[in-house]
Amino acid sequence: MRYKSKRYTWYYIFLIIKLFTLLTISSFSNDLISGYYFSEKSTQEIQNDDFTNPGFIWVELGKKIWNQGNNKNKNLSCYSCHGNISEMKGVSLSFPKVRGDKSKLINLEQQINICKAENMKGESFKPEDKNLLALATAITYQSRGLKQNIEINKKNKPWFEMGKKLYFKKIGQMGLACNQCHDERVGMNLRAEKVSQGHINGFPTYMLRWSKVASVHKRIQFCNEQARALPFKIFSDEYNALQLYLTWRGKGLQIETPAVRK
Amino acid sequence: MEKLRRLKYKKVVKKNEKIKIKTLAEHEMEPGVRRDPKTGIIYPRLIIQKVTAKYNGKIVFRANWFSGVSANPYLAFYISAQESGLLEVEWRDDYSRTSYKRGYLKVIDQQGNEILPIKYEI
Amino acid sequence: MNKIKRNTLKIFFGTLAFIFSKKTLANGNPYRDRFQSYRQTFRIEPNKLETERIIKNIIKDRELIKNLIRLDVPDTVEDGNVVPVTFAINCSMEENDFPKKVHVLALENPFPEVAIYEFFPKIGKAEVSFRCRMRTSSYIMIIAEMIDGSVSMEKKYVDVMLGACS
Repeated sequence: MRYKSKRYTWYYIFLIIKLFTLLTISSFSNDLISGYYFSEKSTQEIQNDDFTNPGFIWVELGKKIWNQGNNKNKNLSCYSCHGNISEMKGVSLSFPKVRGDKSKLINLEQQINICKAENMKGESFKPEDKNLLALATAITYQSRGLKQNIEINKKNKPWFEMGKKLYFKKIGQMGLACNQCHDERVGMNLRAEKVSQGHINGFPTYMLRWSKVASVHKRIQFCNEQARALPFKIFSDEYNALQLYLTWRGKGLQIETPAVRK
Repeated sequence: MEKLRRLKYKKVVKKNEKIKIKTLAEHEMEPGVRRDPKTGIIYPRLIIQKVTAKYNGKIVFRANWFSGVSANPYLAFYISAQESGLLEVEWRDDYSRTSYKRGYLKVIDQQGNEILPIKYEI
Repeated sequence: MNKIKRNTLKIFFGTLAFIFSKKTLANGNPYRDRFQSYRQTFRIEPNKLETERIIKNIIKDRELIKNLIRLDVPDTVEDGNVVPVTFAINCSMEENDFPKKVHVLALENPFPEVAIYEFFPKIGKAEVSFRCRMRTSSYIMIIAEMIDGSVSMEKKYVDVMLGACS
């Protein structure tokens, strides 16, 4: 009899702990938390120090390319039109945006490619090219510390709706939607990983698993593969729409580029 | 394009101070056991084998690395400042290709005068 | 005539080298250790015996000194590709008291030897921090060989959530 009661007390203690953790998790999901706080302390320490952060290799490379001339036109560079790279502060906050009057949504990498092809009369980069990511990282790095703040207006409203639909759509063999993990199961463990809120304020991010910088689209592709769904192509309209929705979702979060994530 | 090498330390120090020197190299550090996911071919090994630090031409620290060191390797070590001089870090890879990063270290005594490695006396 | 002489000399020295190499091979030196210094492009599975042999080869039956090494590694690491390691050796760094070589081993790796650090006298502090790869959760071991011939060893267990593919 005594043994039994003892066993039950432990059971109750366990239950209370479980309830408490569940409550804290649910209170978490009300406000926005950067992915930084979901990573392990050893990973956070790498990001804390700008010197040890390997993402800065990309930033330095990007700064170099910024001042460098084109292959065909030696005197045309990013610098010759835009001036110093520090003037690009806050530019990355408005992406992805609808391009001019053409009804096409583009993100920062695509904008760089358009600049490269049309204004500099050179060759545009391939998706996930190291130089392209370096430029994107260096430009986004200029607005580090600013808050994500994108406006939904008449122009990008249809894209926003499309992204929202994609976010709540169940896909793949597992039949998973983004919101099932990143809204409802935040803070729980997915095998060895802690489920974050899925914000993209640190992108382009240095990914430890690939030991290189990856773009938002690449990361979403990986997410889709994990859910056993067929991923879209990088720079596809679907991913741009999703990126727009995710940026809106993390409104108010500070930009951390180049962040370090698992 | 040339790979990035970073070297960071406190530029002006007092004598006998122990200074931390941080280095970061841009390198894939291919361990030689990874396969290409499509073709199944193993990527050949390519790592940085040796990192040597010289202070005024004298070796003060050496690291021998094998395939277990992570990509974009970071390394921090200490030296004690005795006199102003050149700080030089050399990375050497599998094919004995080397890359350098150099910097000047200024050492001052308690009065604030610089201690030079060569003393001029007449 | 000269050529023949040179050839005989070559054969003579060759056989000598061969005999001596056989002798050195016979005393249980780890083969894997030697692969390390060459470019190697084939898959190798981790082997416990080989690891023990490498450790034995470094220590060489010397007595271990305690409380010489301070090792800082995180208890849990998210990704085995980047495991931050910091170690410090408690010594005065004088001519007769400094670590000659410090070995870093990750015991479950296919190549357990991760790095060897060489120190020189009067350089301030024997403290190094770097980042290594780990295949699975295992011990990280630091073996310091001091200049006076004494050896010290320290190990800590690291939980790795996602192993590096090395």
